[in-house]
Amino acid sequence: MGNSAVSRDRAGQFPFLDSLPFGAQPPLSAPPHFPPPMPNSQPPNPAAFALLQPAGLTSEGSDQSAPQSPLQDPSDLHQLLQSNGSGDAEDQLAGRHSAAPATDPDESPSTTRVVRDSTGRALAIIHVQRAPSNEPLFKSDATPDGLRTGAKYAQINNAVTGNPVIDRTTDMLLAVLQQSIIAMGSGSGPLFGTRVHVDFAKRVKQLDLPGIGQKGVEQGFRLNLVDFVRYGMDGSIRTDVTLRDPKDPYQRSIAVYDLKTGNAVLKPGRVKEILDNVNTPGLLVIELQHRTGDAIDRTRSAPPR
Amino acid sequence: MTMSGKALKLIQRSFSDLHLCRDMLVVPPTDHIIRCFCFERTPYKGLFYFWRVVLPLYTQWPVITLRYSERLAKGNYVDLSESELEQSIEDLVRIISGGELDDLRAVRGPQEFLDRFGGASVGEGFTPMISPFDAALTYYLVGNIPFCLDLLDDFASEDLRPGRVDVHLSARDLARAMRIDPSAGEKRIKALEEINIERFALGPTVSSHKAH
Repeated sequence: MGNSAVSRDRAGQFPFLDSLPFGAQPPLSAPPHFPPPMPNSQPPNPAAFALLQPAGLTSEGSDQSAPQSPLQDPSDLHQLLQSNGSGDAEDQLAGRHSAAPATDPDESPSTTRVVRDSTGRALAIIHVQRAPSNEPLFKSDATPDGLRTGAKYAQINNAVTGNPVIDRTTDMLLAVLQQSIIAMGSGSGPLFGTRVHVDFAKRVKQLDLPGIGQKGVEQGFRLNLVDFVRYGMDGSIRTDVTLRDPKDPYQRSIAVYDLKTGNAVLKPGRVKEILDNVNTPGLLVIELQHRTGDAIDRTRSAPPR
Repeated sequence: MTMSGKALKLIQRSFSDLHLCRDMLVVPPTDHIIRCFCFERTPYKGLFYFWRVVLPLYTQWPVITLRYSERLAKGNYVDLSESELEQSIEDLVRIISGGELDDLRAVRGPQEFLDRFGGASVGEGFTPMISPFDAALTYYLVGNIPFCLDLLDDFASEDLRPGRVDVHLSARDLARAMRIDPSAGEKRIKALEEINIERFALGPTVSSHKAH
């Protein structure tokens, strides 16, 4: 557990090395170790994080006349999840990056996917930024979910992390977001974004999802504090949704979802802020970005420079 | 006066035995456990969360943390804007008197705190939902010094992490001191509680034996 924290502080910012008890070896002397590449890994792409979102936009080709989402009925949350996947397709803009090279501590694996409807129109963008860590993702010793004969599984197939709990939650949250967008109608700008956030938060709380419940929505964290805190405390941050491992007896956070609307994107600075404050090894920061027609059009209709 | 402060005052009218301590409506008496209701701001003007808070008085954190707390009103926003205030207060009073206050009153001391949050393995010294330092001091207060020392040792031997070094070192020092003189635990708890009574303005709510 501590190795990951140490690797994050490799830049010499660990202030208490000299006071390690009992003459313990400073853990920084351990060689850096990164998780093995995930299946289908591709070579690391340092520019991926900055370029993925624009790439997603320019490759869309959707316009206002594009058919609407198949989810016309906001009351049917499960429609999206229970589709067999033939309707929704995904683009993997950047495949799962292999582990960052040891010479570049700032780089961490990331994955981005565009979820499309049956017409090819972009519905959402999921961006996963993995916390730099040499720890395995999950500390729980519980058996991870596996496929079981006779069970029914959501077929949206947006799996981007390899953890069924996270991927299933991501699918659920995307479906909730879809409902929010439909309920909000079309719009753009910061006020629209606020309305979507409020509506999204309400819906997620109502669902009382495993690992999120009601406390996991709009939760405040502050660096140096193990526990979470009230919003507005000096130096604290607030996450849109925090997922804790429901099988972990310690209920540690395993993913933080950051909702973005319109053309807002999750910036590296914000990712760092979340990782620092939540301060859990192996944490994933997942950007949920829903694309409405208006939002895309706003970009496309921007005056040429 | 802030929106939330005004709302707490209005709620207090219906529960005369509760004390308003800064931004918390505290259930007396405060012995070793703080029990209160409070609002939490949100990024949205006029909208708040309403919390039922439980926290050991011997917490080492200088702020109210929410690990042992619950959002009330099913986690929904509470609208405290002028037009909705009256209705919201009515709803909250109903929620508090509908069992939440009794629920808080039931968590009066360290043993009740352990029973409530310790989990199934509390009898074996394994309390994953309670932070290690809180759990150690709670075990101390219920007279289980071996579990207290185990927890402090385990915590102190965890790898150091940014921002938590002081707490780790403090746990290590406390364990050492307690091995020499077990009353060191009591001294530490007393010191922390005195600081927190002042910090959170809990003076009027502390139980009489503690006040003396």
